[in-house]
Amino acid sequence: MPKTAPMKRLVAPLCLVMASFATTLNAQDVGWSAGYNTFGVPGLIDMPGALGGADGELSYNISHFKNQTRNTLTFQFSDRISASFRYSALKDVRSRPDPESPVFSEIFDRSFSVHYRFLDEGRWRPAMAVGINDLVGTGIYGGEYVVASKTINPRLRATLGIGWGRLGSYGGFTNPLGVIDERFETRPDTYDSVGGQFQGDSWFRGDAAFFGGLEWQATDRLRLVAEYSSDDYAREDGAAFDYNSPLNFGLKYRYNDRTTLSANYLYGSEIGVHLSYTFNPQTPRHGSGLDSVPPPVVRRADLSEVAARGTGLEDRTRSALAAQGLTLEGLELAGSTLRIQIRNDRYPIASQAVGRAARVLTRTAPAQVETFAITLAAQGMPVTTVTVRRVDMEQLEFHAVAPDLSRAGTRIADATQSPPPLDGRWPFFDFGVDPYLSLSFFDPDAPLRADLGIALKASYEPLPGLVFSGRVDQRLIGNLDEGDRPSDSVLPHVRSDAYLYFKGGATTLPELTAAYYFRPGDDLFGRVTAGYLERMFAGVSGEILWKPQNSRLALGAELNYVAQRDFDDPFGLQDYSVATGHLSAYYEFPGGYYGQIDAGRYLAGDVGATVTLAREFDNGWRVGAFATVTDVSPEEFGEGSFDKGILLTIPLDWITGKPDRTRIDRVIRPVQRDGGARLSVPGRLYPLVREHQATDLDATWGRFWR
Amino acid sequence: MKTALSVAALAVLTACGPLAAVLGPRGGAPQQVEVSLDALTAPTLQVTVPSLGQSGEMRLIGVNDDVQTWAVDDLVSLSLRQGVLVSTRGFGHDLMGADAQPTLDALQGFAPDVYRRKSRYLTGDNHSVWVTAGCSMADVGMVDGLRQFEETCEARNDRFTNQFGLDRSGRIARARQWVSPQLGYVETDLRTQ
Repeated sequence: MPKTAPMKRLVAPLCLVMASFATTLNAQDVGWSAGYNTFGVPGLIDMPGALGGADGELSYNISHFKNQTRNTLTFQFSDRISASFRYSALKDVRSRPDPESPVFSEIFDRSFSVHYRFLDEGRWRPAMAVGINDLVGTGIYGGEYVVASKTINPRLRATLGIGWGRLGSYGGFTNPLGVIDERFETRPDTYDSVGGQFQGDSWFRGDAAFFGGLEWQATDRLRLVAEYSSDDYAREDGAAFDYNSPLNFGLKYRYNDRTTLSANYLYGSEIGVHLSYTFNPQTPRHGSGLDSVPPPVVRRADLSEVAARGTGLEDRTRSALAAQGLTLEGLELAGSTLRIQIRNDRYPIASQAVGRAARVLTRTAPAQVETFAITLAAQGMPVTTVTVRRVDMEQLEFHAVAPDLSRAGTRIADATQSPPPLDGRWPFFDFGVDPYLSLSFFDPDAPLRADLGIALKASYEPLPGLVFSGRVDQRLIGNLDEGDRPSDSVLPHVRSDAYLYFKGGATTLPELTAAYYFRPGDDLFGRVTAGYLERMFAGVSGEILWKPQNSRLALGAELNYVAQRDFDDPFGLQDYSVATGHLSAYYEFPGGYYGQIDAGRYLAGDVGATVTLAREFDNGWRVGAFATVTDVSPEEFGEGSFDKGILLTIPLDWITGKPDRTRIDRVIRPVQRDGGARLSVPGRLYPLVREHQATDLDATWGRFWR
Repeated sequence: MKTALSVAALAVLTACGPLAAVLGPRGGAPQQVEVSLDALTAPTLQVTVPSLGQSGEMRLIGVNDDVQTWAVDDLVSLSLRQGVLVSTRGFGHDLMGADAQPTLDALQGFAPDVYRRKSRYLTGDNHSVWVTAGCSMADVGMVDGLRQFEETCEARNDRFTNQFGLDRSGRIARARQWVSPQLGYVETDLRTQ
């Protein structure tokens, strides 16, 4: 830091009292991180290690050497567990580790893997982990391991492990697990071109082999790695490349806190490169954000005469809230309480909207008002009322522990009633134009396809809760319509004809709906939607959600009757129609974990359930995975055997630092088939309601004062 | 490494240009303020953020008891309780709230040799965190006609030295105060230009 005046060193006894400054700032900061291998798993070069990334860390790894390219997204789901999704392009590879088996000129392989550190490093004992490299794939990367890593000195770390499957293929010996059961000594042939089935009966079976290596952190940025690999690359040797040696050497250069570049000399014959981009959703670049300065609190004693008397209260409040991006929907002054209802179109975190509204009210509410009752509404439907004491606003604005003290005086409760609607608030018309990006992954003909276009959105709300909305997409550029793989599905083609919709035209009508949102009772929320619900289906949808404030559990029921839409006629329907619906249970586990079960009937008429598990961060980030099992057999389902995928939600303000409610939501499926396909209805209740309720408000209450 | 990271983060911030655009050159006309304050003699606050290489003038936008909030439009603000920094907004790695009383006491010679100061921050995932620093105050004599004090503080990961220049009436006229590890110090000068 530049100094502005000469400073004398003070020799004063300083006591270090307590510091709880964000440990997240330092976690990524240490040069001696675990590092990722070419499979995107924590480890050395090609081999895994026992350590993992920092809790919550997300890492994208792309590595390439002769005829192999691996893309891996790895998420440190908890301190101990990481999970990876990998998409690999392999050329000239055999299906089996046998020189006689046929060579494919190119295949695309998807694999899921998990890594679990079951023992932490101690002074003498190493950290230890167990991992499985291909949970539900075709088995090409199938391999399991138990590995130990130990930091020997501040710059040197050693790793030793035992591997099975691919990782037990070089220098293999009879499986020591045979002591437990002889069946461990043989590994069944699991190669399965369909993929998607758990290969549990082959894990940790067959020959085992040792692997290991050393990592030397030469400088803060440079790390040298040498390893002995137990993978003999029998599927690739002589076809994709020539295998000469089990020794690999690597050089990892930390370009910045997020990016590491590596160069590797592999198997005595090839040079490989590897890029790792790693960050933590808990630490955005802009700290807590570049939000505008909030309106300073004004004490009652300092109110302007106009404000103190309450003249023009409604107008002054409406325009002051509008300046904060909040829409005033209703206002009622009753004795010493001022009730308002607001709609938040700016702040991704609702507690900030409440805080801004409360600040505004200190400036506009007449002197006799002592309590602000601020109702948060979603689609005109009241959800939560936050009751704030005016004196807290006045006295705690700059207090060191303001969040705790102000929360103690604040009441957060269910809101079934709205204050009287503001004159002129309804009917309400809104429209906007936004860019959109549609992506399609993993088509063997083109692993990534995309459309870029503009979306024209309009909505009309004649009454509170009643919303007519529509969206027209105009594609500007893209190649989604170039997909040309006719569906071989034996089920009704509820999703697998997606490419025909893209061929349908550059101008599309993804949504045109009428929806009504209402409160059937305490803790209950309701929705009825009719119209063109999504690109492929139109019909009616009804939903009821039970979600009390402060409850980790929510329950919902949804019933829909829909018909499949035409590929090209924006208003036309096809012959296929179906009644589909689900019972859902939503649960927020402690520590930011989230679980959801949806059981019911899917679009193809199949019956089953979807399980979703996610890690959520209190800035809107979400990383999760889901799997659906229905009464459709793996054979009927086709490639992948059952529906599954990963979920990624990235709040835009995390990137820009500017308050913005836009969230980038991506569902990435290894393959989209027709079994276990769920209708996509706009405006589902759970996310709409939850963000305004006590559990979310409390978790982010510090932002009230932002 | 921490410094490198912070500088990188700030470089991004600067590249986006909010402050460059915000903290304009010196010498703008004094602004009319809504709130009248008899004790207030300086209509603008001269602010420098060394780590951003930016300086400019801030205008008084609010008064709450003995806290004055100064801002450049609605983009960045500082709040000073009798001259001691208690809050910033709009810088990203902001000080959300702090207690000023220990420092004010120390400037008056009422504090023990070592005293505690508590500051609040908001993490990137919207959790409040507090830093309690151990501080001590030293009178380092007259500088530029102001009585100069240095407050040296230590927290677990950080050590910083705040500087206060008091005028004849005992008011903090000029100061350099720590905000956060990423932003470093802000320098303020209340004296009429």
